[in-house]
This record gives sequence, C-alpha cells and structure tokens, in this order.
Amino acid sequence: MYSALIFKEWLKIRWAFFAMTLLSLLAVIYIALNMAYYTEFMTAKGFWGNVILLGFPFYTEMKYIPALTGIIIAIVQFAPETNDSRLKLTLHLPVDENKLLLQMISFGFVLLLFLFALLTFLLWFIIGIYFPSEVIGFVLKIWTPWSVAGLAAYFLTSAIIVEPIWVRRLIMIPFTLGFIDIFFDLFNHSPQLILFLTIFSLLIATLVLFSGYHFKRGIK
Amino acid sequence: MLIKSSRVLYLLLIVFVASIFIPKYYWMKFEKNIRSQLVFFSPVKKDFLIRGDNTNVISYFDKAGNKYDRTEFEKLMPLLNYRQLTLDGKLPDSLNGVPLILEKIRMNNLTLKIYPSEIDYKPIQLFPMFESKSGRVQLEMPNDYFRITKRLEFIDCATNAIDEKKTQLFTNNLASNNFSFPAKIIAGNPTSKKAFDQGYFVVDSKNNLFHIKMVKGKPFCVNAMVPENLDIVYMKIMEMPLREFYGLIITKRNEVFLISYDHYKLIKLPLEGYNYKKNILAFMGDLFYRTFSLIGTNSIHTIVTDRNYTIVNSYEAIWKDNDELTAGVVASYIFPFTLRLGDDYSSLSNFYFKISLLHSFIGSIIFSVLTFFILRSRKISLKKGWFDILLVLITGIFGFIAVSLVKNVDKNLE
Amino acid sequence: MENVVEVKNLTHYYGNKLVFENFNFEIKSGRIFGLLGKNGTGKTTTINILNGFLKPTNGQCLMFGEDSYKLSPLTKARVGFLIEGHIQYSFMSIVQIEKFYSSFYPKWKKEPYYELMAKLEVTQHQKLSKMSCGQRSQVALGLILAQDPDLLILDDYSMGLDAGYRRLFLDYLVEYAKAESKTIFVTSHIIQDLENFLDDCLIIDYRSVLVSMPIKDFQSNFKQYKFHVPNSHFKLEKNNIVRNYEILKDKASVYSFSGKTEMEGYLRSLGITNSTVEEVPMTLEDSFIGITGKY
Repeated sequence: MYSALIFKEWLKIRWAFFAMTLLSLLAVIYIALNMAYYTEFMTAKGFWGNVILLGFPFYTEMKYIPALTGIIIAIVQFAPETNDSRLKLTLHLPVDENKLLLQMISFGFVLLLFLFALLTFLLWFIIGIYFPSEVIGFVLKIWTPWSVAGLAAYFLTSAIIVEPIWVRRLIMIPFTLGFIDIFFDLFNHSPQLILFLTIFSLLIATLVLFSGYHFKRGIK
Repeated sequence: MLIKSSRVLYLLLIVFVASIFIPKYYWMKFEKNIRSQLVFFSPVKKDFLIRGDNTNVISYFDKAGNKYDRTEFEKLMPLLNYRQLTLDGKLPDSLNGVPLILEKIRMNNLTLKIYPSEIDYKPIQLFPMFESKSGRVQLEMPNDYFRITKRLEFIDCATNAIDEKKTQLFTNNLASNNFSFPAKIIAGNPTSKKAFDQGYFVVDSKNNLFHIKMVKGKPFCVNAMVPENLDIVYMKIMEMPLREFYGLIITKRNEVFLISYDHYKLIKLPLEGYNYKKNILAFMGDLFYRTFSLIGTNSIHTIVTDRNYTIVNSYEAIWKDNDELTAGVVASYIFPFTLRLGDDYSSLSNFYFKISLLHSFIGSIIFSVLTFFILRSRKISLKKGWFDILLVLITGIFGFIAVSLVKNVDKNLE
Repeated sequence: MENVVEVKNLTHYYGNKLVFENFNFEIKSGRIFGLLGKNGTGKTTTINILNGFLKPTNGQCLMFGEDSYKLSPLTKARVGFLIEGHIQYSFMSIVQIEKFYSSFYPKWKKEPYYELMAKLEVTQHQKLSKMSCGQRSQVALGLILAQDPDLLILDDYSMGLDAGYRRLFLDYLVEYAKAESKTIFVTSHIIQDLENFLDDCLIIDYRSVLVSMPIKDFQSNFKQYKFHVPNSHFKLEKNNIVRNYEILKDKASVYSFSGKTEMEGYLRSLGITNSTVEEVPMTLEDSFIGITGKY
C-alpha cells in the first residue's frame, strides 16, 4: 500500500525533481568552474586570501536552490491533488487520512533530504579540491540553514496548497515568507539556534494535517 | 489530537515569526539614531572636550559647558589635528615643554577600537605566516597558510597539500619550546598592508602565550610567560611604528592588558567597569596621554592615563537610549517580548530576547479577555480553549494575532 | 433488510444559506437508490457529507453503521466513490492507475477493468489527461467495478457524457447490481435513463423532500390530469391532492397521487363541472418535471 502511494507521489514529483536536481548540479558545476577560474586569474594565493581573510562568497549560487526546490516539489506534489478536489480520491483510500498525508509529505521530505545530502557531499568534494577542511566547514555551516530553509519551504508550501480556503491561504503566506527569510539572514549561527530551527521546521511538517482537516471539514 | 497539535504548531509559528518581524518593523519606523558622545582629552587645557550627539553641527563642549567650534577644538587638540594645523601653519613649536616634531607626533598617535562583536567572532582558522625579515620594503602574502592543530601545518595554496618540510621545521621548534598543541587562540594581522610583521600571538592548549613568527624562513617562538590563569578571551595585535607594545589582551574577567616589548611584560590597564560583552573599547594615544573610552548604548566612561598608565582624569556621562525614549516605553507596553536573531554586540546569530512581561502585562490581560470572547463566539468552551488563552497571556499581542487568525478545531472532529 | 446508509435529521448551511433541513432517508442493502433533483438542490452536498468531505451543520449520516465523518479504512474499502465529473488521477496511465488502486483493495478484480478498457480506443500507457471525457468516465467506472465495493456512490455519473456512454455506463451498473447485496446510490439530473434502473427514488427540491418511495410506486401512482378551466385567471392551490399544476389559457394540468375519481370529486368541489378530466400517461422524466416543476 505504502509503495503504491509512493509510486503515485513519484509520478507527480519525478520531472520536477529531476529538473531541480539538474539545476542544482549545474549550480555546483558552475561553482566548480568558477573556482578554477578564480584560481587561474587571482592566483591560488589570491583566491585563498579572498576566501579565508575576506570571506568571498564564491558559493552564493547555492543560496536559494533548496528553498526553490522545496516550493516546486510541494507545488507539483499537491497542486494536482487539490485541483478538481482530487484529494477526495486520495482521502477516500482505505487508509487513515492523517497517516496518508504524513506519508505523502514524508516522501517529499526524503527526496529533498536526498538531494540536499547529495549537494552537501558535492560541495564538500569540490571545495575540498581547492581548500583545506576549515574552508569546507565554513561554507557548509553557511549552507546548512539554506538547506533547512528548503525543508521548511516544502512543508509550508504543501500546507498552503492543501488548505482549501483562499483566505486561510493568504494568512499563511506572510508567515511562511517570514519564517523562510529567517534562514537567509543568519550569520555565524549558534548550534542551538540552527538545532531549534531544524526541529521546528520538521515539526511544521504536520501543518499539512491542519490544512487537510480544513479540506475534510468542508469543501464546496 | 494530531490535528490539535498541528494547530498548536501553527500558532507557535505565527508567534515566532510575529515576535521577530512586528517589533522589527516597529523599530524601523520609530528608532532614533542615538550617537555616542566622543570624548577627547586636551593636552593643552588638560581637560576633557566632548563632541555631543548633535550630528548636524560639529560642536564641542567641556565639562563646564563652554562651547568650542572646530577651529578652537583643533587648537586645543594639536596632536590629534596636527595635519590640519600644519596646513594652516598654526602648529605650535612645543607643547608642555616638549618640541613638536611631525614624525614624532605621527608615531605616537594611536587609535584602536574593539567591538564586542569582534571578540566572539572566530574567523576561519587558517593564517598566512609572513616573512618578517624579507629585506623588502613591502610585506608579501606567502604562498601557504598555516593551522595549529596537532602540529603547525603549512598548506600550500596552489596544491592544497601540506608542506611537510616546513611543517616539521615549525612543529619541532614549537615543541622544543614546550608548546602544547593544539592552539586555542591565534591572533595576528593577516594582511600585507602593514608597516612590518610581528607574526602571531598564540595561546596553546595549556594556556601559555607564545609569540610565533617567521624570521628568514626560520621559526621564531617565544613563550611570553604569562600567568596560567589569565583566561584570555581575545587578543588584538598592533604592528605600530611606536614599538612599545605588541598588542592588547582581554580576559574573561574583563581585564585588559598590553603586551609590552619589554620581555612581553603585561601592563594592566586601569579600566574599572569594562565589560567586553557590552562595551566598545576605544583607545586613543598621543605624545602625552592615553585615552580609553568604554562606550555602552547609553553611557560613556572615559579614563585618561599618562604614558605609564596611571590615571590622570576620568569622565562619565549617560544619556537616554531608544528603550528609554517614548517609542521604547510604548514598545515595552505593547510587546511582552521581542525576539531578534542577531545583535549589535555579537557576531553570532542566536536567540536575543528582550523581555518586558511586567509592562506588557495589562496589555496581555486585555488581549486574553478579547481571546475569551473570540473563543465564545466560536463556541469553544474554556476547557477546550485554555491553551489559547494561556498562549495570549504569555505572548500578548503575538499570541492574540495567532489565535484570532487561526480558528479552533471543531470539538466533534478532533 | 440492513440499512447501508442512514441519514438522520440532516441540516446544512453554507454560511447563512440553508441547503436542506431535517433531511431523512435510508438506503437498504441491495437496492439501487436514486437521489434526484434539479441543479443546486444539494445532491453533491449530500454526497460530500456521506463520504466525510463535509461536516453537516446538524444531524447524522451513517454508512454501514459508522458515522460518515469518521469512516474507518475497512468501511471506506467497501464504498466505491465516483466523484462528480469522473475525476481521477489524470497524471496516471491506464496501467499505472490500476496498479495503484489494486494494492489498496483486498477484493480487487482487474478483469472487469481491463475488459472495459479494451473497448476504448486508447493505448494502455495513455495518460488519463489525454483522454476524452467519455473515455475517462469509463476508466473511473472500471476502477470502481474492480474495487468490487458493497456500496457504489455515483455523483452525477451522466455529467458530460453523450447517450452512448451513458447507456454503456448503466449496462455495467446493472450487471454489477445483479450480484448479491450490492447497493448503488446514484444522483443524476438526466432522468430518462434511470427509468428501468432505479429501485427507489428520493426527489428533492430546494430545502424539502418531494418524494421518497420505490420508483415503481411513484410511476404507477403519480398521475397527470388535464381539464379545462373557465378562464386563465383561475387559481388552483397546492395541497395533498394537487401536488403541482400548470394553467395555460383555459387548459390546466394537475399532478397528483390521487386516483381519477378522487380528483374529479375534488375539482367538482372547486366548481369545475363542465370539463372532462383526462388522465395523461407520463414517462419518468415527465413525472419528475411534474413534481419538481419546470422552474
């Protein structure tokens, strides 16, 4: 049963997921090419000085990729469900409705996690070609909130799309934007802050249940 | 149950976001730019000159309230303004019996500011080791960076590989000087745009302070023999032509020391009341005096010493900061707390709460009563709605926004 | 006989707009039940409530004895649900959608599905979104039949279908209904197709139930009488005898559950003596329009 549900989610998500994976890979390749370029034209020590002493953000292309991916995956996964109230079909399946929604959202979550883990590894790898571990750690620390923002964007966008009433959707949008914005404003974040934001983001996955409840409570 | 918890999370999300953004926009509208006073000590008058916070007109006054314009100020502060006075041909030949020679004035003029936010910032722990006696006029950036972990390792920029030979050379030298790896603090000025290089001051794992640099390709490592329980939190190295001290040490106990050229002897500065987490430390020096200002959001404490660091005079002033002005008082009544993730006094993104539960308590109670009526209009009993009311009681306006925007879960459908 | 569906005192408002009030009916096991009414009378609302997609303002709906808002997965498996407009997962192909649903239903029978699909001019891997409305309706029907549910709920199955597809649809439903204790609940606004199909009918108008009885009783007892009235200003009154009427110039039609003798007596009491009362034969659709009115 679960595998059938995953199959359905995968059918909806796959092209967008491939496209976003491709886009992210292009961004990583672009960064790698840029690093080669800087090494050539600034000289290695000039590039190092810029990065280590001046904090030159050569990885900045990655900033909005996770959030964008999260939003797009949420749209392609849940818009077909709410379009023509197809969610009725899904919720009519002989499975507990909350469990069903959680399974759907956890599948998207796992895909995102996979993509972000892959990107983390690739960043680690390409930066490691040119820089010592200190720089890798520095960049990955900056990258972490950006990828958590992707998860939060996915969960919140899903909840917005499943919500059947436009007024409630409009209420959710500014708080979603505000919450996501927080992740892009962080600098040298403390471990407890990023831990809190990560756990809170994961808990927010259940917001889709509240929207699903509204869907069940009454549709016209 | 699951639906109810999901709603509670939604409320918390709204409270969290609102408590960051609503005060933020509030202050964007109402915050006044309050500038700290600038305090100078005139070697002519032997008294303080203060630049007020009126930013449009540059004017100065003294403790007695006498006002001075810019020209008068420049005359009273000839060492600070020697270039302007030289241009105007008004620089006196001598002051306090000491002949004023341009080269000497320039060398003895010092300025330094240490901000709380730079103290808790840990940069990438890779540093360039300059050749401090290259025989060249200008310093050059080296081709490698070092780290001090289990060894002092040099990593070549071009190959990103460890230079084993150089690493061995330095590691062995440090080890023979009883350096305990790894390093806790490494401080220096990693820039080639400085007059000369004094390398780095390094606190090792056993709290010993070492002076490490490279001289003609060879390691130079000296134990400064500072007390073990100094608890250094920050060091600022200053490579100044006036070779009197290497730099400045700040300790956990808010003590400030200068590391003198004389066998690294520590000179304790008489900065009573300094708090490195809250105060900017502004340091000015000239031929005769050292002026230290401890600047807070609404206060300044300036201590003037002679060149032997004996106190000559001091000045204190406080003024109203934003929290005490109308907008701040109003804010403390409206917002039970505000949350910021960044702070002027830290480089760290973290939770920075400003709590004013007491002031906002009346507001919170009003909001709670409103919540009670909202719940009644939604036909939610107290038994089911107690969490909403409690939330509003604690989080005031933020909780009220959340509860009024998000309807309750129907009691039959949980 | 067991009641598969029980609707008790159902009242629903959309905001302040009353849809229906104190609505009661039940569907017995093994029957084909039609909920008929003009557009906007609350047919889809009833079905949404029945399937748990709408919480009624008041009252209760039971399906297989369970509150329709909290249907257990086991009960949901016993109910086949055709959404208005034959909505299905349009991003799936014929094969994919069969595979998807099969894993949820233990009694799944793929043969009737593929039998139906073989009749369509589509390939196995064609996506639903690239099919015609009629073809999609057959996919939706095939899926429900393959599910082999005990209760079939069809919300306006005829929507957007031409006569051929409607006929095909009903032929399959008749076959399905032959099996033991299969219950069908259907709503429609195309009445003529249902004439020989329904067992029971419930005809609703805005806010009220007009008829609730076996369809055979409705067809045999509900009658239209024609007669002449003195002038076009003549007024008739709706009551137990006159359920509905139309007057055009001097010709009047009256719809009633009363027999001819009773009707003649009633009309005499109104002073209509100089006209013969003539009973006019009606199709189901005529009866439907007769009772609901043309407006």
